Amino acid sequence: MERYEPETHDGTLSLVGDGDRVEVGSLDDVVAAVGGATYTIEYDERQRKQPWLDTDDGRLDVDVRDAVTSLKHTPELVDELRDHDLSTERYGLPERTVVFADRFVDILERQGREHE
Amino acid sequence: MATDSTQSTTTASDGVSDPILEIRNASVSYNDGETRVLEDVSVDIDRREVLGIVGESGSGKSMFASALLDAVPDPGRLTGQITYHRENGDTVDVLELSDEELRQFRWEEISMVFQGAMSSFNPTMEVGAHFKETLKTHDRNVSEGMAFARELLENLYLEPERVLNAYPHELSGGMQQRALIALSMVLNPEVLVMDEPTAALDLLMQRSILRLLDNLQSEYDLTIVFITHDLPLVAALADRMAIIYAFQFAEIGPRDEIIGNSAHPYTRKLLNATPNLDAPLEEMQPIEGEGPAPVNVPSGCRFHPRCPLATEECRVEDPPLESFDRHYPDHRAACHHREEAREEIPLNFGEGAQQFDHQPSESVASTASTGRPRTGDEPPLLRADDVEVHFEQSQGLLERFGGPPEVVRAVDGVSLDIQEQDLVCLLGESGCGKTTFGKTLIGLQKPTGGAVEYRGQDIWEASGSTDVTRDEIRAALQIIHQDPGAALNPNRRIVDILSEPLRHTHPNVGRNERRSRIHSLLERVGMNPADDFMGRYPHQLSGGEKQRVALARALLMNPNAILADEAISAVDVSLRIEIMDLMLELQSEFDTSFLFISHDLSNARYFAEHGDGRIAVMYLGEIVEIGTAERLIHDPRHPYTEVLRWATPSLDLDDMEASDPPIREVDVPDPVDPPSGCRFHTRCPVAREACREEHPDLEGLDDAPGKAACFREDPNHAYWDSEPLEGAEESDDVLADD
Repeated sequence: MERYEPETHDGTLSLVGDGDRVEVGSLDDVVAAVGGATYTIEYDERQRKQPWLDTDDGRLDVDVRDAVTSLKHTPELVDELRDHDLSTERYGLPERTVVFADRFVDILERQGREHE
Repeated sequence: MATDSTQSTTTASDGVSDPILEIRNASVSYNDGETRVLEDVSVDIDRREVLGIVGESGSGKSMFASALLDAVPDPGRLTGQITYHRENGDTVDVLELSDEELRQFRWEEISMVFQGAMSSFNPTMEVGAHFKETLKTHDRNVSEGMAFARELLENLYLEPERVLNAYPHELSGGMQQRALIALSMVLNPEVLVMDEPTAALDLLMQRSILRLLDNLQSEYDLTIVFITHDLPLVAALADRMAIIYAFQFAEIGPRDEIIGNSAHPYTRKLLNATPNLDAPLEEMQPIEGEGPAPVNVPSGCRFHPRCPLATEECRVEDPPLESFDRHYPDHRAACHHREEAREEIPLNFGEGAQQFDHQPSESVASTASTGRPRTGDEPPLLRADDVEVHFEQSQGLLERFGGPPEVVRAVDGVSLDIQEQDLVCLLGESGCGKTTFGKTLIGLQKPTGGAVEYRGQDIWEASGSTDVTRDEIRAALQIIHQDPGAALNPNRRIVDILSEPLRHTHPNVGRNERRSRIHSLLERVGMNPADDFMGRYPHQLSGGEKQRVALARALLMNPNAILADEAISAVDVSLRIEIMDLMLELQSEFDTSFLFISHDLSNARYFAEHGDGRIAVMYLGEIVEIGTAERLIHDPRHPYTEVLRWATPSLDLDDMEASDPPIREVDVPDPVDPPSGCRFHTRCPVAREACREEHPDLEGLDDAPGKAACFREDPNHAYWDSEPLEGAEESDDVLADD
């Protein structure tokens, strides 16, 4: 499966594929757009008993910096990011960085207990 | 671990000779015993059997599943005895295990797949890492375990490397669920407990997974406890079945006995209430009333308030779950009137169904392709003319940014007329475009191509200067959603929820008249006493009652058409027919047309046949076949319709054994990049080269009512001279000949 890998250089996150690179933005901006350095997923009582989930209280704290610098992405997401400018600002952050954070949170939100 | 080497003796009650699990007097209670959500259940589970457990929502079936793994949610208290017998003769007292012993016992001896498991992945880990983590946590050899994982994934029709290297969000729901089944088996457990594992999936995927489970069960000598609300679904897989009602087992026995010769009135009425393809429509009957809440369990037999055979004995004395037939000592039922139940509540399928005349009526046949006969030159109520709805994909949380690259052709060139008081069911798998098309027809979604007309007027061009304004069209076209709870404001009383649309559309109507209209409509949709319901909040209503409120709200607008989007999926099986009957009655009473969206052919059949309407089968954005339910079920012309027919579980014992699906690929192609030519050619069992190259149009059938988009309808088409595609059959044998 073709994927883009994250690379960080001087605090800037990029996604790098076969001879291709797209800059996502500064790690600090990604963290700010996600809403903090930690994103917590809460699992219900049944879910938390899954053997791959190492959590007694049902809370999985995702370290945002670790996750965005390790999670690989599809060429489709990279194409989408490319359509958004790094120099255009939304809410004080580059638009492309916000779109990336948006997709990242979307991936995290699919897991855990159903939100009321 | 709390084990001993005492070999169990045969337990006469269930006729089980080699029990792997013995459950005795298992009860689960909350609030210091005040609320009992599982009560005094005693049952044996045989080694290597498939036990299907059927119950409606809130019946206690999930609590039973949790009890088997001593995993009852806090602060519930599980009492009784659960004994697990290893094949070597060791026994485990499950309720005496320490936390660490329990952690090992789960997944190594008994594992579980449940509906919410699809959201239990770690989203930052690839699926392969979930397998490795599971193996490491249980001190297994990882490389050997991963080899087994690949074998399991392959047996589940998945590409192992692709799945193992994918993140959970990169897999479809059906792939995730199969990956979870493989995960639950990677430690090679003896027992697999499955609690509604497929409920979130399409019927076709559900049936496909059950077929795969059947294979896995025999290949790996598994014992499976399959818990579901869907009686016909599990019947195809089960050796024995148990029916659970109001937190107790009402009946248990061999599958064929439970389906064909059940002795509990609830089982028989549940069978008769289950929409299916075999029973005569007029014989399908809902069960009056609803199951009790745990704080309000009736005295005596818990089913007596809903039972037509109830006597004073039933009101006073709780009947034990006991065997009663010396020919079938393993068949037990908790009823004082078992013989009467068999005599007084005849089953509506099997022999009864065979007496049913399957010939379509003339009136139905005449409407099959075009809907109700048109009068004069009047335009249809709604007309879709070559409608396209193309979405840009990945519009997630921040839609404001727009401009994503990929286009999903959700609806692609669909034409359909809906006449006044017409009824059309849109049927298909998730992602086939049925909801998008339905919303486009009622003006909630703007088409990106083609046109939608309301009584001859383009609904997107309506304005103040045209004959009918957009507001009038909006009021005339209403929707009922799948989840009625989500559509009702939780902070407002029912009377306020229903007043709002009336205030908007009839600003001159006074408060008293509004209340009077709401009152009479609530009575009409069966919510009595209406005064009581008007004062309630949505959370004080059952699922069926919420759906009635949603229906009432739609009807308050005096609509000309109502789109019911999977409107009965969330309603319990025993109530579905009642809600569908209500909709059909009101359709006639209010002169309304109905568009009914479903993934379930048996529900669509009930609606279309009773409502004298049509079923339009959709696949990847197109209508591939349209006709009466009768014709689609007994004479399907498109191979995809045939597949949906296969996916619809049957109650016919002669036709019950799971067969392989008439399909080459289980998974639906990516709608972003649909296949060339006929979109179904990648899965079609009889596809040929011509299907890959040329796109078939939806054409009227020569010898039957309706239309189909398949080259096989044209005896002179190049299809017949072209080569079958890889994996496809040359002959028609793969398709049923019903």
